[in-house]
Amino acid sequence: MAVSPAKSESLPPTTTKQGPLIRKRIVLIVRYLLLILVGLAVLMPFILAFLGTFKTGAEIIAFPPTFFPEEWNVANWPELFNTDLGGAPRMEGSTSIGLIVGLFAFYITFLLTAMTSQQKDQGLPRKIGLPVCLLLVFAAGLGVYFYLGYAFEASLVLRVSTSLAIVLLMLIALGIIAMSEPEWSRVVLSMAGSILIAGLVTLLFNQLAISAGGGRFMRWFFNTALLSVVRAFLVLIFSSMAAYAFARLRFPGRNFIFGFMLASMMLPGAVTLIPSYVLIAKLGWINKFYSLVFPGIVTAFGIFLLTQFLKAVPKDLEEAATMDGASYFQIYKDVILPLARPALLTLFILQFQAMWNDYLSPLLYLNTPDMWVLNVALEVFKQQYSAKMNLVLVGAMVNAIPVLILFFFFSKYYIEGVSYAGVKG
Amino acid sequence: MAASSAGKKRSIWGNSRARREALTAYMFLSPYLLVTLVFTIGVFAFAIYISFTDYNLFTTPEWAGVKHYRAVLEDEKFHRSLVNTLYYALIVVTFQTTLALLLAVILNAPMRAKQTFRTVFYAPSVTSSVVISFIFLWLYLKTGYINHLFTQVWEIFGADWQQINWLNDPRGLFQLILGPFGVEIPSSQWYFRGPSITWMAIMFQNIFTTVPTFMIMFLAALQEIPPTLYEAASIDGANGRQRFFNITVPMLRPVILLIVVLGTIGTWQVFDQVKLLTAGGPLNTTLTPVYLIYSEGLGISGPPRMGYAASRAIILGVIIFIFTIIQRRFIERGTEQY
Repeated sequence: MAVSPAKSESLPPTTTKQGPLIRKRIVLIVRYLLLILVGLAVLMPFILAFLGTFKTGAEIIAFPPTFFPEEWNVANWPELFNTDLGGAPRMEGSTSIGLIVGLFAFYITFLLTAMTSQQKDQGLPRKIGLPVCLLLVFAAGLGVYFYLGYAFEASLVLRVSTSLAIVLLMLIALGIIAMSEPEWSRVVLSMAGSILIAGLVTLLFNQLAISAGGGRFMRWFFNTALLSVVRAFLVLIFSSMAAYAFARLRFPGRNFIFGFMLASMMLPGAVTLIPSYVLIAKLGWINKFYSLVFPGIVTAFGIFLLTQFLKAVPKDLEEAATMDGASYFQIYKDVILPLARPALLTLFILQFQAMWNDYLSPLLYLNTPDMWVLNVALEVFKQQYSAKMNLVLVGAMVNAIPVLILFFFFSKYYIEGVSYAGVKG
Repeated sequence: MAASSAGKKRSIWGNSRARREALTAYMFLSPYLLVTLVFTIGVFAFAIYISFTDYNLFTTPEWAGVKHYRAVLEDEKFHRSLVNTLYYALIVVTFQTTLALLLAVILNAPMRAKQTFRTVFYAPSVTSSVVISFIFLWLYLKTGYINHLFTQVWEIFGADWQQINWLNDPRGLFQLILGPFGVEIPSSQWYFRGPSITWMAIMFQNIFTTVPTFMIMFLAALQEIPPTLYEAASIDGANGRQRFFNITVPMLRPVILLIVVLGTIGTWQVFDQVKLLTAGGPLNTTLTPVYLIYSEGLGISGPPRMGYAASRAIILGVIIFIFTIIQRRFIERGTEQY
């Protein structure tokens, strides 16, 4: 089954045309009343909490509780953004924001530029391609290594692990193009361009992150949004790559790896909680966004969703493209990605929400106030402001509103994603 | 790129097309393989190794053999966490599966505003557990809306509602039921006291947030059932209840299995609510294995005991595995009858 919006419209006839009409009417009315009641019950905590954000600290814990606030204290909301939990904001960890965004920029520009030209016999000769590319990648890695050292006096382990991770990801990008693209010239050019752009974005973002002052709440909001968006995009890129391989390419071990992947989805996260923490700590990634981004760069669920989607899509377009001599990478970029757009949007939304709502991993890996995401910050906030329940509720609302807005705009895709997991699992 | 000749062109990776395709595939897969190798396989192997050592992150791991596993029998805290979670999994999975199925069947009938209802019902599921927990923390206050609601309802019957401190009440369910009959359960037999009031409050919160997700899954599966089945049944004179138990439920078996398994895996790993609302208290009645692993392994109270935590985590993994196997057997055996 494809993730098709039309699916949900079809109504199976669970009721039949037998029986008196009046009885059916009553059943229908009871049904509606029941659903409205359930709907109200479901939304009530949010409505109460939203109204609660406008109450005073005394009113919010008074008994019996009121429904509407006696007086609308709109000032509760801005007050939240002015609170910070003490201590001057430090720039610790800003570097990982910059580098993560830089890596993201690299992949986007690389994918966009790698295959734009369609002409042969242009650009640099083929022979110098591979060495130059490798050189570029390692130069970029070295750049990261020294940059971390000079600008942030990072430890050796951190410098090595981070630059290694980034070099590996760039090598993968390079390899994909090289495997499927006989012409090196464009690869070199796009590689060089992407590294340049990524470097500039890194520096720019770092400056932004360092200079962003003001209340801490804005910073937490920014951290959460950035992590969610970047990780969701990276998941899209890497999961769709793997899904293309599973759905379309033949290679030894395909069924085994796919089966292993399905099995790994059943592994409870609690089992690997402690060793994951040790690993991240040894890599020097505690208090860095790498700890949340790199392990989650590709997800088994995402690959599974996209693979099943692609398997249901006819291969006509690709066969035509192969006839025209398109490379694997071209097919992936120009045929597969556009075809998979609905599934990609679904996956993006689910991933964004998963990161935004994640609590355990940020709690483990991010310890300094400047690196917190909203969920972790809120908990500390609650401990310090337990007497001000109204402010805690404002914080909860600020945390909930972005996902709720996203959900109401894209509810169709959310629901497709969740139902898809159910039907196919 | 030019193209018709590309296939024939000698590539530096060999001239066979199949080999090239395979290499390309591995290239496309490499990010996944890399991440899995390090963060799934590697970490899993490391978990097993750590569980046989004494380790606190700062020293080198010291081989301890099966010490941590042998200590399981005397580890009362761990027992408590397992018993708590067993209650939790049984109650939450039962309620969330039944409620989700009922809601889905009601919503599946032909009616107007179906999409709107679906969207509204799903809304609680998209917010984070932290948001939900803090809202419920406030609702559960002694002066909160839940107590208020009970007061109102009790008043209708002319009774007085004793305000309950929902998130700090260790009295167990069976203790409350048997109390009026004069049966006292001593604290040494804590496991007979049943889930505490606090624990049930958290269960309610969890059911509240997970029902919509599972309802959506059921809805999708319901729409896969061929309408002809219902038509045939109606012609044979089957009523609504017969159609539900003889067509809907059997046809939904695979999804029910999935939802029960997912629910079990989820409930055995409950952490967020415990960390946010009770920290395992009162009197350890909301202690769960993952919270224990977290607090002992990272040394939230006392020095980090990573070997201990890793061994408990592996035992937990085995328990979850056994449960899913049993459920699979149980529900799939049912399928064969049809």
